[in-house]
Amino acid sequence: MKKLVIPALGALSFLASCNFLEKEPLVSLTPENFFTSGTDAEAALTASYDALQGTGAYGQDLNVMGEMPSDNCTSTNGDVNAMDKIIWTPTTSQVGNVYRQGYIGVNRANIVLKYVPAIAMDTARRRQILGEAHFIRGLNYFNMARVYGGVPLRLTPTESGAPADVNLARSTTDQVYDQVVADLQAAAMQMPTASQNQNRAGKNAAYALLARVQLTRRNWAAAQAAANAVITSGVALNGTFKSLFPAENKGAESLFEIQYAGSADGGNILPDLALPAPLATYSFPKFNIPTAELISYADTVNDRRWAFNGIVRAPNGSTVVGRDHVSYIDGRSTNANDQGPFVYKWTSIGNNFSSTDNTYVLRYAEVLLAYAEAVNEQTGPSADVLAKLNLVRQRAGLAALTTASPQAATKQTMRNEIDRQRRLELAFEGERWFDLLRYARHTQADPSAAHAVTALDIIAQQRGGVREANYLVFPIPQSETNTNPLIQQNPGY
Amino acid sequence: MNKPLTYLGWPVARPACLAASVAVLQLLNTPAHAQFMAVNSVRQSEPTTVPADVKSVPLKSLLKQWESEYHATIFYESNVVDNKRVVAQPTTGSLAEKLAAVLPQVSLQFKELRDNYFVVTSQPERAPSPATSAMAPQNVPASGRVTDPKGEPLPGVTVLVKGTTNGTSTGPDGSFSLSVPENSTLVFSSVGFKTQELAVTGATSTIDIRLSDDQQALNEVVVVGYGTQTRQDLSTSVASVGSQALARQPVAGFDQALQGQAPGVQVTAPSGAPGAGINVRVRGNASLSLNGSPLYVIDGVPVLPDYQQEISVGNQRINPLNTLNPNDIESIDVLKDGAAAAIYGVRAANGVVVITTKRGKVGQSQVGLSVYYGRQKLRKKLDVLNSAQFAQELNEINVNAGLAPAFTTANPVPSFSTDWQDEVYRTAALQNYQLNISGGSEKTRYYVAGGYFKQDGISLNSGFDRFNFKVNLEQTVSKKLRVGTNLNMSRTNNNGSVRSELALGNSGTVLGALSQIPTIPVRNANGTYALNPFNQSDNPVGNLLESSNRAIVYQMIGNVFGEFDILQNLRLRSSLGLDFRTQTENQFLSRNYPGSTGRAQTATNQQVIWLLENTLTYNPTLGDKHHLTLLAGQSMQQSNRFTSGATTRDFSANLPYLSGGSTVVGIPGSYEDSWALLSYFARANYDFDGKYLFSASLRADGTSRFTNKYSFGYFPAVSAAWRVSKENFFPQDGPVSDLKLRASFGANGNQEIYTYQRFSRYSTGYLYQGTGSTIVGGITQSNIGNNDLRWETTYQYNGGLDLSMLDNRLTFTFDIYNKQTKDLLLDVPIPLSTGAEVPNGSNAVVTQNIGQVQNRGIEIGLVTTNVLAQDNGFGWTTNFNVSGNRNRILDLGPQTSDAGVVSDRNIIASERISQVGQPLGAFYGHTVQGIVQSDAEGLTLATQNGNRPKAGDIRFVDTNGDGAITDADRTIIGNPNPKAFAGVTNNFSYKGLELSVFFQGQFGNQIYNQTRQIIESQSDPYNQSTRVLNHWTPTNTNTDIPRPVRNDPQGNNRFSTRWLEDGSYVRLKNVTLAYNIPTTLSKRASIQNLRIYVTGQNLITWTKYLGYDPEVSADPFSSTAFGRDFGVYPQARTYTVGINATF
Repeated sequence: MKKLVIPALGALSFLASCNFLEKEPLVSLTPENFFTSGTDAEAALTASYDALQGTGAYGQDLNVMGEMPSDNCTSTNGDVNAMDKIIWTPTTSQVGNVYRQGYIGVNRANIVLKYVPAIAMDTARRRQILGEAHFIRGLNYFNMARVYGGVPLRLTPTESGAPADVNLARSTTDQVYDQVVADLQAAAMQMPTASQNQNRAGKNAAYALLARVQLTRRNWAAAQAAANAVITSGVALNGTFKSLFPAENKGAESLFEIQYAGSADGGNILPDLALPAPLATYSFPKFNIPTAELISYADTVNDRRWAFNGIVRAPNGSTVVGRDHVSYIDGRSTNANDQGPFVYKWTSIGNNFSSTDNTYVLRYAEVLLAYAEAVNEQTGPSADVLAKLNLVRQRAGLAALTTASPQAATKQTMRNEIDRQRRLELAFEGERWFDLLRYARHTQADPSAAHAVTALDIIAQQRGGVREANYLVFPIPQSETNTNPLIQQNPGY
Repeated sequence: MNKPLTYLGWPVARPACLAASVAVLQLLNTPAHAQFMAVNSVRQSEPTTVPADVKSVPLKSLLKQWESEYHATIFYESNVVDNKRVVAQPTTGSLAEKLAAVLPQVSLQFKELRDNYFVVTSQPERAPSPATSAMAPQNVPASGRVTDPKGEPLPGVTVLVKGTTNGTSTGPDGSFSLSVPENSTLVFSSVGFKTQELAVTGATSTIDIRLSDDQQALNEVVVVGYGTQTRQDLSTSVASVGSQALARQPVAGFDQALQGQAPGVQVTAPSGAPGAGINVRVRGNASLSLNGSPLYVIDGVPVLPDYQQEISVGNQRINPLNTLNPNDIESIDVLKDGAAAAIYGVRAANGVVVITTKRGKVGQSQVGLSVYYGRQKLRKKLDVLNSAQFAQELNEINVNAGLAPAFTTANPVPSFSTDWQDEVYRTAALQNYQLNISGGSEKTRYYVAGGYFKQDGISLNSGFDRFNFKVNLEQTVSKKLRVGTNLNMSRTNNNGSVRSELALGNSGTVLGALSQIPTIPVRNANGTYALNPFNQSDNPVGNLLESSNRAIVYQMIGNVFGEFDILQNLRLRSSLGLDFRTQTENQFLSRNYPGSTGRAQTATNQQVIWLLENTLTYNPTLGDKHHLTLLAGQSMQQSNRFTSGATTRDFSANLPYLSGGSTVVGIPGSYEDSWALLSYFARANYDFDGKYLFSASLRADGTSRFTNKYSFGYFPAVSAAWRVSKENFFPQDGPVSDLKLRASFGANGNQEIYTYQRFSRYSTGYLYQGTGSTIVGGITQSNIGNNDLRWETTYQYNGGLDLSMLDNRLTFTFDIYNKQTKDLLLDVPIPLSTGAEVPNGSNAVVTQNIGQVQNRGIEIGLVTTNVLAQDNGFGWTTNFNVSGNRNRILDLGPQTSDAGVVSDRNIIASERISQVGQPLGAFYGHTVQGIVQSDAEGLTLATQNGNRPKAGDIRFVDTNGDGAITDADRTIIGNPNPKAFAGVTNNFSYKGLELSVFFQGQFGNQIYNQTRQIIESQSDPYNQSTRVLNHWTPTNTNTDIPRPVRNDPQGNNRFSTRWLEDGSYVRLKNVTLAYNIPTTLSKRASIQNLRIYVTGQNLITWTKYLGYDPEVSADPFSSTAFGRDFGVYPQARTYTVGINATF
């Protein structure tokens, strides 16, 4: 009896330990088995950058949202009609896509921030990685705050489908901005000064973004300080404006740009959406067509940012497809879809929605303009303001302003000049609508600080003369309000 | 039945993480043990006191003293002899005389085994008092022979003196001899035969007993999982199917043979492909998204088929259950109600099918040979157009769309018509050979079998074959220890070149045979395959002949076990089980395949599932009227699976291996997963006098699929039954011999989500430029896990009635049940702000437990002996069953519309809707309201695809009245669930002739005939059904077929009531005519039994269904998309001849 029973019961108690039921996925990585080395930290960070390439982010919709509603662009393409005409609703595709992709980016950065600190690896590199993750999370939240106002603030990865974990209420806009500032300061603190690498965000990118955030919040001194940190770091503008937009970017003044390598990593689809065919792979009504108002607003004779630059040919060298005005191109195809002005800040071919062209997020010219704006708002026109502004003007081939110039007469004229240079310098780069929103809020906060044109003017133009303030933020997407019982829709939607 | 042996309790050490304690016990009562128990059965008698004033001595010391005096050995159970005192008689004489003198004083008796070996046992029940026992009758020798109804010797029959344990069993020639008291009664019993009694008045050597077959299902042994019960003791709902009904049908797998045999068990062969997976549902679909298959327990090894394939070519699905040869199966018991299934816990929500394979019987070795050969043909051809008709139709299609006619004088109609069905289908052979050798002694029993089954498909280049090998061994090592093994091994080869459920143009060969046009030949003059000149699609013959898709599966299911009697009534059983499977799939498309440069693909899949189980069964003695059986057990099971695969194409030569390709397609892949179950279970069966029966069980299942919080699921069950017929008030001589009422409740689970579903899982592939110029891979979380996930739970209530009357010539079983499945595992939308990785435009989802489904139904089973065969005369029995199940969704959670309105969620998936209050799989589409008879009428109707319908177009109902036919006009238009399904088998016998006629059918379901949506589309240059000849024209207005028009601009072919058909059918499934050659003849050829037979399978089908076969499903294992026909491999009609012989 003992011979049989004892081994049987022995086997029973030996095997019946609870570990028997703990089956980690063998083929899938999980947080429990993944983060073990510096390589893993790098991979998680890479995925965080990858989220910025998405079509809901800089790949398409964020750019469409930043330009299409504004006075810069128009289109006959139905896909962007709601953006163009300011008739967006909670179910408009861009409204959902920017939100979805923003949170995907946040979640990926949250993963880095949660797990990388415990990895045993080179400490300097770890600080850099964490700094970049803070930057990416800050960038995503800043974009969402500009678009939707206060959004749910999620600072740890979503690792459970339980209702308590997936449903989160909105934070206020200020709370989100506070988090953005905290993230960017953490980013700037952790990243070494010398590590500027154009593929990835560095200290200057963090400060440059912080300057933009503080301008948005009307924290002029803080904006000035952040911009100054970049200015004093020794960054310089590219020699010529044209050199900013080769087939692939990476100019000296680039502080942060989204990298694309063509089919190898998914590629940039914007060139195919915004360029005439050929150059673009297909012919259809394009997105982000420059408005006639913008072309007439720009000095297309003397301003090198807009001036005629030569004849553009197709890659095979034969077909004349347009005339290069640097920031835009005159399409000359026989097909109506491909005639007229098109955005020309992505100058390579479309390559089947897989272009190698990069997209700027932050460049030095904007930092200079931000500095000028921040100082002007505090002190009015000054030599300091003019010095920074002139760097931008002169690179564009415009004369340097002096204290005697009419633009430098008052704070208001200076403000108008800075607004003008921002529009001309950064056109099509996805900032115009957000500048116009910013101007509208500044004017609301300080009626004496008037801007020549604000988002409310555009809204009124598009919506039968009514200055509907609810369009100063986009609605929370329907998918979110359908599934999240804690979320509140923005007023007016 | 023999009286069971009983066992003592045994506490089980409880692991720290198990919250429930377990200690349970049970009666072991299998036929396998019956012999053993008969010999060892001991019953303790009431202690008898001897008056104190008489000089008594302890019996034990007296026996010891005699042992040494006589140099004899006296066996006794110490508890029988202990504490007993006797008055020693001062006689001289033999030891036998002395024992005879003292033992009756304490109600004991003895038996002389052989010279000088004695055994002391207690006296029979109702034994005469000690005072009279002194005058006990003398023993007389009795011998004779026991035969079966045919007069064949019957070995292994238990022969007992009634009321005693004194007995023997018959030898290989059926003979026996023993010494019995005068005027006693002998009881002859053997499983499967009616017990017979014979009075013995004096010495006799001429006893000739012929046992008759036991028609009384009540005594049938039912395997209930970790034990057995007799049917009369059951308080749960279990349906049993015996080997005869299974072996009669010439099919590859037992699951197919189960069809129509058991109430509540719905079996559908979703396709006619040889070896294809069979859909089995016990009491309806209890889940929307999880595996709906019952759990199969094959010789104690649980197997949950998942029909998986790494290369899914042409929707051919390999059936892992084909590993078993139906010939080797002794019986199948289907545990249907929640209480019966609950002992299998978290995998039992879809019922449990317990399969017991054949075992050796004590007696002379028997060699059995079974051979059949058959021919299969396409059951029915569908009528399609010939060349002239096709040309006419295609021209109309073109002209009605304003296009030029396709056939003109410049492009004339060819004089031939290719009949593609004739080209693709063929008469195919079916053959089966099985040889088994079985037998055994008291100590060793064995069953060894080998078989080969080969079924060529009725479609070119398709088929299935199986080699199988089977060993069942049991060895009694000692009185207390038995060991054994059950092994099933097989190699199956599935040739799956047929591409079903695919359209022509997508290499579908079934639809290809219907829709390829008749105006082209199979091959061009140069030998290449001809293609449709109007649409360069496939050539079904080329698709079949120029490809090879083989899946070879080696599978072994079995166990080794030991059984040890720790105490007389406590038995420990340990078994180590294995379900091992290796599957190799190879696909090759040759360079001659239409449109191919050659392509090869290979994939392997290897899975090892091991199982360790320990059970204790205990049957305490509580007196004559109380019967308690306790079972406690522990089980652990683990699966490890590895798969790999690779693909290449562009072959320079037709070399059907990867090495012949020149272009690598993708990255070769591999995958691995593992799961485990750790379980504890307990069960108590109690009955009072066989009158009031109770059973309670609990299984605690620990599973690796969920977190610690939910890793253990507890699945309780209780059941009770009342045998009214055992009550005193019940007329004992009336027509009703047995009446039992049953009620039960049980909870079962379903855990079959993806093994790692609960985990937040990371994936690679998020590429971005590294710090240098190279692109590097990013890794991030791709799936949000859910640590709150748990199993789906099904609570089932069952009520039943078992009735047996007219001398058991009629037995009737009725069951009514209500099954509620809660915590359905569904993908539920979650907020985008979770950052879930989903593509643009998609909602984020996570798997959650939400929703409820209900199944309610009634089952009736009836077995009658209409004419009782007497003396080899005419006999007729009928076995009938009918079941109805109603399935309804109770809850799917809430949903919020874009207008912000919260309502019950519904899930629309192509032509189906899942909606509260509706059955699973409800058809959701447009309603046809006749045909538009004029353009003028069309102008008054809602637009279809933006245009007003024209004369000859279908008029759809504009449900919402918005003037346009859109998706919003869809409503629920049909139900694929049958209202009832039934089977009836009639067996006739006359002398050696047997005729079995089996009908089977289902009623009240609808089928979406999507095949017709192709062959009646009248919109493309594909061949059409002859039904389109009746299409609408200004002169042929009384029709339901619209006008032909290219590209269907009005959407006449959209999913609508037009494509739904009544799927009811009655089928003459099997007719078998057999002749048993008289033994007197066969004996001359040294053959014990010889049976020859002819069988027809799928002979006649009565149905209104227009497709190949109403038994069809293009999504066979889906619980929400069944009942759709789309180019499914058609069923064959089969004729076979065969012999069964035993030597």
